[in-house]
Amino acid sequence: MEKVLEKSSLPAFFDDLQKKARVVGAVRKGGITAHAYLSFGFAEKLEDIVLDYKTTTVAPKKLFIPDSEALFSFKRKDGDIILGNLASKPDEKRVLLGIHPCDITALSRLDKVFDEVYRDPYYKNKRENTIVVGLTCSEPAHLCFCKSVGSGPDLNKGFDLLMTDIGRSYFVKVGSKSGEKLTKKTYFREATQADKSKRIAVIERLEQQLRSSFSIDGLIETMRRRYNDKAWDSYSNRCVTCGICNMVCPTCHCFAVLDKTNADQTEGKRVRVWDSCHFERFSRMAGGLDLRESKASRFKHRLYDKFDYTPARYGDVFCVGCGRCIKFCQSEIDLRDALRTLQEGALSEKPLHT
Amino acid sequence: MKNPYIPETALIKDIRAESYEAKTFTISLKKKQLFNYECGQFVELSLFGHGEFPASVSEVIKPKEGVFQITVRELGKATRRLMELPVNSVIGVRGPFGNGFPVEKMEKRNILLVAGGMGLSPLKYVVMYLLRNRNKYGEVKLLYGAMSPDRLLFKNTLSSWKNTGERDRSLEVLLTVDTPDNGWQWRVGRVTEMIDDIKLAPSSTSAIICGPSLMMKATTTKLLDKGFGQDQIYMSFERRMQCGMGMCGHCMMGWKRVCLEGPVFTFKEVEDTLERLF
Repeated sequence: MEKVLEKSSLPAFFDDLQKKARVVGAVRKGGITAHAYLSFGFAEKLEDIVLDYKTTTVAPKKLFIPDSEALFSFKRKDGDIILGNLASKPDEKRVLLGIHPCDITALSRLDKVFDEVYRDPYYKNKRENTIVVGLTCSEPAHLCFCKSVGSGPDLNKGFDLLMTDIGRSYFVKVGSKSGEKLTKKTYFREATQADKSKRIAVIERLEQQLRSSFSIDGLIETMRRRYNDKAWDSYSNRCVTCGICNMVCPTCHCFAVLDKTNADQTEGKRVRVWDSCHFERFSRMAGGLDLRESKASRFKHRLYDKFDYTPARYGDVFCVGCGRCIKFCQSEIDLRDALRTLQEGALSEKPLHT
Repeated sequence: MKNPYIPETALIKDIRAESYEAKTFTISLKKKQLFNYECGQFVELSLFGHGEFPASVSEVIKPKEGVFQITVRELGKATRRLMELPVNSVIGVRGPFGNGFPVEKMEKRNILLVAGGMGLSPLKYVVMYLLRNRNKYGEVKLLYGAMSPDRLLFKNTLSSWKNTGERDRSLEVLLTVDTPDNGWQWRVGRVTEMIDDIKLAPSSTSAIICGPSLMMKATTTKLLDKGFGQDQIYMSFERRMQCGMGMCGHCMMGWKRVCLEGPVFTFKEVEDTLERLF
């Protein structure tokens, strides 16, 4: 189903969304300083939301897996322990307004992780109570490569509504029943053939602007063959294992579990916090053995996870081409360069397990 | 929605010193519910305020009432706390998690168990299972090695395993240590060396291995040399399992998660793993 929303009706649409749920969008943080950045946050009014942004600093995953989240509480009482379930209440209803196709794809990927053999109540609760009103980009950022990994610039699923700026109005693709309900309002009209052509033109322009020559064709085979290739070294040697790529990545979901207590340890909470596979103690076991002790092995782990392990498990590449890890890497490591070098480089293999 | 992060509370019913460093804890779930455990699975034990750690189960005492045993030694924050606790302390239990040893698939075959140090803890329950179902299996041999005699687990029960049943249905146990003491009558040396001491029929034998990383590597290499099939060498892997449910990412071994697809893998399943296995 395809609809059109005039830009002049956007405030009315926003007001109606706000009646249903809290609206979340790309908002400015950090004040009017050189450190100002865009992040997903609650918007009180339409003007709070930036709609023509390129990428945000932090991916919307933080709305579903916060950087720190309590899993349950415990309290000592008369020699016993009382546990409190913190996932018993449904989460507040939210609308994600203006999320880009790459980030929408990332959420679809995370859905597989948190509802596989076991279901994560915290993630699912937030996810089920969130309406996704996506927005295709008006212009890609210079590091974007969604086209190369199949997560943009257009999208067919993963959203309730997907808007595209076609000049004086937004073209709106309906992706679900709850999305359809939102378009029942009178300010939505049916899309005409002219609207459709305009949208096609916008997507075609975006596809031309996305110039990255990076390709994942045959990448898994190359990676499997060249795990021990020296070509990795010039990239992994530069890595300072700061973990920023994990923090800003929209699909990185690894977390550490730890207990936080009050001073006399009579009560506390079990908490999960974001973790990074680049950190030294990430895979270290009790007793000290760490099979991913070398920095190179940790560097490779993240890229193999995105481009080899997750496709083997879920059938999808877990990189969505948002370019955040490239943008924020202080060593200026571009994963596309690393993988391209591997694709093009000469073989220099060492045998496995040595 | 069920919250799989919340443990079942349980009581420590009994504590017994097992070796100079390890203790066996008898744990009883407070809600007397079914503890549906299969050989080789693991549980996550909570020491509230000190964290959670994965542990294998060494014996299930009363499955229907949720009474089981774990045998552990102090290695980190949570196990340190566990060692300090008195009888009747409250701890938490999540699980069992993971796949376990496919003991039913091994029926009619000979079984070779190879354990190193604390690695006998998860294999104890396998031994008990095999003894209970002794007529379904061919020859069963256990090779067990530790650093020194005072580090051997289940010393008293080890001798009783040997004497179970008729002669041809018994369990052959061979022991070795790196550093013997005065009374030591068994072998001195590595557990892998004992593989040369025994008669093996590699094509009709399934091997079950658990122990320190390098011991598992050496044993696997040896068994492959002897002609064991890659799919007949079962290993129980240790990794840093935190959530136990395939989400936290800490226990990945290549694309496989030790908590979900493991902890038991055949060598065939993991031989193409790109990163370090052992």
